[in-house]
Amino acid sequence: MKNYYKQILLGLFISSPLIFTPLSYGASGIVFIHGTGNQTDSANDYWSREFIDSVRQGIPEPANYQVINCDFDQYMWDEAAAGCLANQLHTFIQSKNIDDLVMITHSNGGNIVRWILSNPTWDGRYIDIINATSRVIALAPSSGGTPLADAVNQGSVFESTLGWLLGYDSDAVKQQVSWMSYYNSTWLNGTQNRPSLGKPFEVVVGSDVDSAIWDGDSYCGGYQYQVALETTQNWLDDCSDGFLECSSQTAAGTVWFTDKQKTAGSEPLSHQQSRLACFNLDSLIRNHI
Amino acid sequence: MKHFKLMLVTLSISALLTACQDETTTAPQDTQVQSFTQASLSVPQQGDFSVTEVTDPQLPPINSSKEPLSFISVPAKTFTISPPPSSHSSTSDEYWTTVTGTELNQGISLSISQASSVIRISPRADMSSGSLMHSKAISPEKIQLLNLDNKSGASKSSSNIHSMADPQALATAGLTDDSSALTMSSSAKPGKYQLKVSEPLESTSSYLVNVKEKHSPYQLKLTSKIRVSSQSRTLDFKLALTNSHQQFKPTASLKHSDGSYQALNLMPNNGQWQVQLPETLAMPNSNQGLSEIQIDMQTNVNGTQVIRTVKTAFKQFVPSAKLQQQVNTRWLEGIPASIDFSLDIADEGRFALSAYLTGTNSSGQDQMILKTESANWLTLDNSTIQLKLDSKLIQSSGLGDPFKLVGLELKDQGQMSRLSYQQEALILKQK
Repeated sequence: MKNYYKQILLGLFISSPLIFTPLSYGASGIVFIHGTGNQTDSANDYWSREFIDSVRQGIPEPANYQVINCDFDQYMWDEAAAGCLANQLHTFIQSKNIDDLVMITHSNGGNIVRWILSNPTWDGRYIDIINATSRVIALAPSSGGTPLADAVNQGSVFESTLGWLLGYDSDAVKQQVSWMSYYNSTWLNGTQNRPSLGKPFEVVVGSDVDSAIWDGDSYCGGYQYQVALETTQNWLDDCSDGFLECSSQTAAGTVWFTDKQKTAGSEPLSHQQSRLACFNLDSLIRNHI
Repeated sequence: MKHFKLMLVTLSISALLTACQDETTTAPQDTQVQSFTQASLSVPQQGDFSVTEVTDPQLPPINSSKEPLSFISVPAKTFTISPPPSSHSSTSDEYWTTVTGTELNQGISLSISQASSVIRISPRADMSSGSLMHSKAISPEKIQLLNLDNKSGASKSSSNIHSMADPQALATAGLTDDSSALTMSSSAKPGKYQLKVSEPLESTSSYLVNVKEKHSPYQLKLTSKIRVSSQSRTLDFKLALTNSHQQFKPTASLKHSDGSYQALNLMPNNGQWQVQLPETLAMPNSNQGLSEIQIDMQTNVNGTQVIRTVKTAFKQFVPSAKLQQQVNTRWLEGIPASIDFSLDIADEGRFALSAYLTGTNSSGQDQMILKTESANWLTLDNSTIQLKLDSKLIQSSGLGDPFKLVGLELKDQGQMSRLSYQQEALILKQK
């Protein structure tokens, strides 16, 4: 049988200078992990090239980047979700000899990453990923779920059995608030009164939506999204990015900043904008890492 | 980043995660003195829970991996262990009702308890004809909202509506269910309204109407257990409506993640409420997802009708394993190296065990050293899980005997369920 005993045990760090060898010969890498949805070209359909190409300049080897494409409409532990993410991360880590991995997540992507970080004994692939990870920067993570998922899933048997609803249905009811409460209390770490994630999980919070037709800032990412997100804010707390309440975004990890504290012009980041190069978000991340 | 990492290693190593994956047991060197001790798990305390009688799960496991895995990490210094919550609360300032296309064409009555409420109409699917019928989306400009309490001309629909959103707009915001929404005017008064759709709708079509009253003073709070054993025949919960002392008679229903759904008989029970779980469909037919209890109620507060729907999720599980009382600890050079737990199981499955190891400082106080977790596929012939410890971590902590195992958790990875928890599980003494 294989013996994977890792040479990064703290005890070995203390007792042997050889422990620095893997760090010295490893490499830095960055991955971009999308949110809810079944993505096949998330570099263009979810993120943007502008955002990715800007952010990856923040690591010593900008070519060491990976854009994840998985089906995050499934339950977070599903092979199509966390399994797919684990495969793509594992391949990336192995091929590039990555031992200093920065994960950039958006929305539900933060939950899939938290699942992996929280459950090392679920799947052998997870342990290598945990060991290689340096930090997670979670953009608008849905750590506490969203009442919008409850709104869509409310009602009769129809939507669950027939699965014609897209996005939240099929198996994607995970982001309902009460469901996330159960997962946070039992299977996910990083929330209050739970073990930490072991790696920094730094959160960028989107706190509002601007959709004034005369305001050019409302057009970053698409004006129609801003208008819609202002409508959905009615289902959410006053502090929200149109999809997630601030309390949900801050439920796990530590807050790096809330949009207006650092964005250009102190602009808020709607849920659409917090994955794009809006208001210097890309350069803020690039400089931070 | 590299420098940051090296600094972490050299300057604050205690904050680093440590990990090991060890599929083999390394034989102790000849020079090391090995010994074994046996001890019993401590008496359960408040907040602890466990399985009393194991039962065979009937459903396929979510995780059927046969790979044994172990992992050791160092908890954050600020982390203090607390028992997992036993209940969860949900609050609601909204309600849902399902109506037909005909009813919407004729106009349905809605109770609104405050201005600026939001009304969303979502088409549902229907299989009553034997084939899938997807009710069509409604154009928001075809929606009328009349104030039935206002007999004057001021009840015009346009004066009650502030803004509208069509299905395309809502889809861009994540509400991808073909729904349309309108926001009521801030000057719209509480009372009875008629919601009417002027566009012809199929008589058999079905729509879910969602009335959201953000910031309403009337919030319905539901508190119920977070986990329910398959051996439990009842479910207790608490209900409370803020700013109201009116009595109300709620209705309850149970919904599994597979979509099966049924009404429940509900009775008051010592200031709480209790439902009998049904004989049929008592348990979900999949280990995936959670079950939900949904409560609907209406009451009259100071002349205003208040309607609410609230729901919360819980895990229904089969009590598939329990820890045996006797555990064996292996010691090397006076330091605990691993602890073996035997489990009672009714059938094979993948189980996970985790716990925290503390040691005693010079002042006699317990301090955290590490977290250890292991998982394995257990069979009736081999139902032991070993929690590995790390001698170097223990030595470098400077902490000594007696060591304690705290926060001991047993989970069934096949069911995605926590089976037992013990806050003060074991005191480890070599002699």
